[in-house]
Amino acid sequence: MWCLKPLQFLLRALTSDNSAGQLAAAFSLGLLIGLVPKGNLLAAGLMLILCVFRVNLGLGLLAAFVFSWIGVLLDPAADRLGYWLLTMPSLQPFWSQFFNMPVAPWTALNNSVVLGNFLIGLVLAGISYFWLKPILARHAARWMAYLQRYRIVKVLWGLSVVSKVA
Amino acid sequence: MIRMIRTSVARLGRRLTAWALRRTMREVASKTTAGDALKLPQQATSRSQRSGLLRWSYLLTRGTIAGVVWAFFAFGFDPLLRIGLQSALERQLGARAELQAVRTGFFPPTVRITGLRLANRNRPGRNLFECEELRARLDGEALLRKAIVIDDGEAVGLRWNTHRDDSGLLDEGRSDRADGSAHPLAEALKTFGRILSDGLAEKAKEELDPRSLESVRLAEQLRVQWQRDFDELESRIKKVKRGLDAIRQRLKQSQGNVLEQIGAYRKIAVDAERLLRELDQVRRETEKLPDKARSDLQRLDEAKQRDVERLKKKAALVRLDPEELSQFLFGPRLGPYVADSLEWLRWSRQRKHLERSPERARGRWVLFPRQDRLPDFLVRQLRIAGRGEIAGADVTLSGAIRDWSSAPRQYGRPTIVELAGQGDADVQIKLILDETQPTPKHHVQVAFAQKRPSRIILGQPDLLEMTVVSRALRWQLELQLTGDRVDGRLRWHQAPVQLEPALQTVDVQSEVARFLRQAVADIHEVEATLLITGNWPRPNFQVQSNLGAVVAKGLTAGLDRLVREQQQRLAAQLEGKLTAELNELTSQFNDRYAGLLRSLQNGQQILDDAAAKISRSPLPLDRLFRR
Repeated sequence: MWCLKPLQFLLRALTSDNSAGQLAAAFSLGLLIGLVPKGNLLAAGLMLILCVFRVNLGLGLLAAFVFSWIGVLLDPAADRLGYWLLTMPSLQPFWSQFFNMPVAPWTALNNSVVLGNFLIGLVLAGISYFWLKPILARHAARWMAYLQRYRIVKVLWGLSVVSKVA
Repeated sequence: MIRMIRTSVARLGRRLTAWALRRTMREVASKTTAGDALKLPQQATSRSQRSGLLRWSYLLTRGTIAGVVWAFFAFGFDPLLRIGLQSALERQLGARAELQAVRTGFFPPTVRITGLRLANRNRPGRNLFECEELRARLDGEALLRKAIVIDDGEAVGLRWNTHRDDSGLLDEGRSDRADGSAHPLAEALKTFGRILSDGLAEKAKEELDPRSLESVRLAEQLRVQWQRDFDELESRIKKVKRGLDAIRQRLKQSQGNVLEQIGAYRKIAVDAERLLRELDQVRRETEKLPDKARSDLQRLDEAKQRDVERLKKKAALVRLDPEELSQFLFGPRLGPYVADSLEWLRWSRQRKHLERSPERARGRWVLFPRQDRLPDFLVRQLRIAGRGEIAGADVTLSGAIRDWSSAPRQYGRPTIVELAGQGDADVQIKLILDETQPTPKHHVQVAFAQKRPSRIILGQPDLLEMTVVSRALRWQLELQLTGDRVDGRLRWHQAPVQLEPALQTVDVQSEVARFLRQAVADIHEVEATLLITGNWPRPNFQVQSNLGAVVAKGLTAGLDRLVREQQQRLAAQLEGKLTAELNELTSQFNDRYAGLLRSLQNGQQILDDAAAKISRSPLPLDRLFRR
């Protein structure tokens, strides 16, 4: 079934790397990408990391989508945190040197919301990884069996399996 | 048919699903514990061992991602950049910006823009400029630091002030037509035009208004007064005559004895005495009439003199000021050159400086000083080549813009624009835009030289026009804008020249124009200087020229002659009118005076008859009539 090959390939990319660690890492990265405002090199770099590393791409993208909306709610807190850090007198030499380095200005880390959300995202990503990994390891199979009761999951899973067979 | 296809697809889908489910159940059953997940890599390994040495899934996945990234930069980056540039230019200029295509290169970083058009916010329907192609080489190191620095660029096919089909405004209902972009001398020219037209057309057509003349009014008053005097005297004479007739009648009818007749005659004598006195009075007053008439006529003559003097003053023209005349002649020609230069300066000032102002985004931007002191946007050198019209001459322009930055104070260097044009005229333009200090200073120098014959019309066609035919034309403009203060000078020179004046005012054209032509016949070169001083956006303008004095002299001579002729005409009209009035008055006086004299004579005759009758009577009554 040649016409299904690209779809199969895409589904494989999205659904492979589904160990507990890979799933947890994907979720954490997706969380971080979702919180950081887009349109800068930082977001693009995080996205590249998600794509390059062997993590579950589908879960990562899904988490990025969901946390993009949640990130808007965190903006006021992130703005305060980021602005406080950027204007801290003891950090001025560091920031000045950092933002005079090549590429650094494109990261937009001199924006209070970007910096604040990035730091919040880092913390939350770390917490979520270590919290999710054992849970996924214990319950992933049972959740998978539960999900397969749904027709769409069956179709998607079936196509994926078909590609393995083919 | 459709139902059949649908049924087949559904059946196939069900079979596929069932088969897949069976297979899945077998696999899931084998992976119920976490430990089973660890077998997957082994299975994957075994699978890969079965398929070959390369991990195709890994490679193909990452290759696909790399391909997507490449495709983005190859096909998506340029259109996105075009949209970004367009919105940035529109924000900066406040008018529409159009870019046909943008192509970028990364090693080295280059940008190529084709079909660039920027609308002019101050002139709806016109482009500020348009460019066929703009090529720029960017500084890679500055680009890594988010500074767009064009080391070297070239703009080809540049044209300015071209027509566009729409207004080019971002907000269609609002136009920012600048106050300063209007013709700078418009008001002054209107005022002077009114003075000139008043002097020529209206004066030429002015006629005598009899009601405004004192002598005419006096003549009318005298006529009425004389009439009244004569009427009064005549009525008194008539009254006397009636009295005399009554006396005569009583004399005819006197009868009776002597005593009765004496009584009657005494009464008659008393009445006659009275009538005689009255008649004498009337005679004396009548005899005074000629003297009074002479006195009245003297007054009339004096009034006439005063009227003539008044006519002379009224017909006198406002003296033509050479400077105002220079302004009138050269203003429409020189004013737009200055207005255009001021408009370019104004446009350069209205650019919103990209002083790293916060963008429309979430959060607050904290700006850190750059160590390299580079602004966000800088053009070190941009070479320009284009074609267009400058001061009515079609020229091919080439030059360069240097050190054009978004933050001049940070960068520390002024922007310099140097352009040279050849074609119908030689043009040199130099602009120095120095905004490195708190008070910006802008300096413009324009030199224009046209070596081919030209025919230039000065003045205004509906009033006074001066056609200047010359073999060479040169003008230089130097303008300085310091803060809001404007100082400048435009020098205009044409030589050798032939001048052809033309006056469009009806009735006086030939006469005054003849004087004007004589006055300008000896002029072989035309020089003018336009001085600009004052504050933006309404500076003051002053024009001096050699033509102003000469034309003023010629026009004044012609107008003086016109005025003299008009004065003579008006005086002749006055003279004629008054002569007629005088003749009428004199004739009226003579007739009435003769009539009065006759009436007096008549009355006297009646009195004499009565006296004679009484003297024939036996009573010595003649002594009663002794005067």
